[in-house]
Amino acid sequence: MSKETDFVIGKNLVDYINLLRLLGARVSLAEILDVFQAFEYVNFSDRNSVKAALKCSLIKRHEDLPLFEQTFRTFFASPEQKKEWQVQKRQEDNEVEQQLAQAESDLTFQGESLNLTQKEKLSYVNLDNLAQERLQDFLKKSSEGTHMEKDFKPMIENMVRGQLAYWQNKEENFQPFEVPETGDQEVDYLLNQVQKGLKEEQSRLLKQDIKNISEADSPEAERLLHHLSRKLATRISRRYQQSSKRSVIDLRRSIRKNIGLGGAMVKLHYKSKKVTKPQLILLCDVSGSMSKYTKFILQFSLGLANAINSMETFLFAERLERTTPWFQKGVSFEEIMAMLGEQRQVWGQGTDLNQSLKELENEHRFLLKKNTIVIIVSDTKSVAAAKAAERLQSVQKRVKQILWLNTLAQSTWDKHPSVAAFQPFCRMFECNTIMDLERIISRQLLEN
Amino acid sequence: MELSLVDLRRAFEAEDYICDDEVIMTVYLALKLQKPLLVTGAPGVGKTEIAKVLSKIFQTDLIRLQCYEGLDENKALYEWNYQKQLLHIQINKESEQLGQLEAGIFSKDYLLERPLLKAILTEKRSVLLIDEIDKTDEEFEAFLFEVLSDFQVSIPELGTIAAKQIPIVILTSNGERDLSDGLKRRCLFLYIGYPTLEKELQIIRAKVPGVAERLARDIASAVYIIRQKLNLRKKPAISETLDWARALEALMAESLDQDLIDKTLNVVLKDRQDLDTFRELMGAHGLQREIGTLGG
Repeated sequence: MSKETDFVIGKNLVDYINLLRLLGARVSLAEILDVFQAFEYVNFSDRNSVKAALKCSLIKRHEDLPLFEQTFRTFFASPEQKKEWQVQKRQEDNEVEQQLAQAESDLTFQGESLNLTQKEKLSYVNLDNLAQERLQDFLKKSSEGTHMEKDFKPMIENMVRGQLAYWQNKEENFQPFEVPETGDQEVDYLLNQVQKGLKEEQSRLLKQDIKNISEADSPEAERLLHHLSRKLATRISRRYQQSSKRSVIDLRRSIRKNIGLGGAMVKLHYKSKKVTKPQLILLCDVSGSMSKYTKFILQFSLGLANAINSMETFLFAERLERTTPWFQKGVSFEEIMAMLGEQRQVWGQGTDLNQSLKELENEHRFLLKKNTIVIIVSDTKSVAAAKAAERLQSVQKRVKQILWLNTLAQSTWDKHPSVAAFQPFCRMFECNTIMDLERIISRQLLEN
Repeated sequence: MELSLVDLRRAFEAEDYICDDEVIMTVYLALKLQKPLLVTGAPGVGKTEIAKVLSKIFQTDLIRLQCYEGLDENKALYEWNYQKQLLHIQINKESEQLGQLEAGIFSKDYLLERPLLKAILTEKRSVLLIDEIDKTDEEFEAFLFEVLSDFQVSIPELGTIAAKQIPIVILTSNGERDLSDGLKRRCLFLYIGYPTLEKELQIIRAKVPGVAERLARDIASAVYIIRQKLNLRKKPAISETLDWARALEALMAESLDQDLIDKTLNVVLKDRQDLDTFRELMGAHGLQREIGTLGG
């Protein structure tokens, strides 16, 4: 190969790896060197060989394979295909521009356009006609109202923003993951293409907010959860198992065993390290606001509870119920859901964490020990948050640590005073996707 | 022995290992770059078989290290033959100086070679299979780094021993836990999924030669349908397909019918809940109908 060809291949490769890295694949320098070495044995006219060489050298996690496939298809697409995409992109950009112009002309106060972000304008465009008309009507009436001065504009803008945020939260479309903006037009364009393609892939379930998982995706998500919980449970039970690994010679037992051999230490005995299992207590919020998460979290708990005998499970809403027997071996998930349906009437729809923790302290005090880890899965929306925070502090003093898996997006935590009230007494993590759930349990229980 | 890509493909076929070109290309690169190959995928898709096939192709020893919880360097790399050392000391304590005694007992004569050391010391390039690496602890993985990147081991009493021939290393993992980045970085990676319908049919023909053509096609179709249409906890793997084919061949079946499916289904589905799911959502009758539709 000529030097020029080498340069082009090298540049393409570096650009491609850069794209993979931007999309979250971990590619180290050692792996890049492997690709260059592998390319010495690859026939470049055979696309599949090039793909296999890149795949085996760069991608080392099974979950990154869909990302690789999509990235490869996009980056190494034919020039005709790329041209077609660019035409599509231009059309889409034009449409967006028209929509933005439309939003600007619709959303005015006393003849002046409102100062809204591009995202807000687009969420207006995506509203149904009725909602758009209501908003326009509100703006018209506000503009024409008596004593309405121009100074009211910021207030009106805030009200419109609030409306748009409400609709945006309600109808937010799922994005597989945030794609970083690089500023390089070509790279950004490729990133968007890959993101579009990945929306179709199964791995999206891992990164999708659980509350947005559709009925159709539900069985697949359940299967995924079952797999993840089994995987985690195996690791957790292994982590705290008596190991047969040799460590230190047990002199006392060795001497005893070798007395019969005249004192020569022929047979040695070893001490193995003593392990203490943590006591796990899972408190799962099953109130109305958490209903969309409950099913999946219970599925995950069932997987864990089947492997960790020492795990205690409690469900709570307005009061607390010990549900450990529900998760005993042999009880199917369908039976658990049926029992939950019956009990919900008794527990109520709201959340009273104060009452629930009080019951935990009074009736199950023996479980709260220095080696106990309490995991709370809740959106923190509870009545009497101040009292609940005091109670949480009291529980925290008795146990090793409290992990709070908060289903609210971290970006919204500052809007919920209850988050600030509970945070000092626990380690709080954003947890609203299957991937979050797996990652947090894995890190907190296995790596610490 | 130097093999081209085409030779390697033919050799795999000669050993009845039917696979995609991607598998062949990855194995070829692992051989050329002399790097360990980490193979992952569901149980029973043919990960371990790759090592066995390679040992046959290169007519060399297959040295297998079966991993399990608690595996340590004493069982994987080497161990001093303590009893033999003790005997040496007892016999020679009168006649030898202390220094001589020490030098004598820490020599290769007293070394018990375990699979990793054996693979490094062997004269002919061997195939080292580190099976189910995900079953070991993270510490053991870290311990493997030296062997996998430099193909050498350090024994404090003897110094560093480098490989006489760099072995062909195949690591397998069922994905029970994530492996460390360090280990993955040192290996080429291959994921083996379930085969296509046609590939599975070829595998059945190659591995169970006595099976009737119609039966082989029915089995391949049935397994393909079960994998595609049912949301199972444990999907049937190639090994289960082959077990099913052997079982049906032993029953002298010519094709799959409802009765045979009902009686032999537990060879393919090995989880009680999966069997219930199958009976509830598809059943033998439904499966037979689907096979008919697929066969056109």
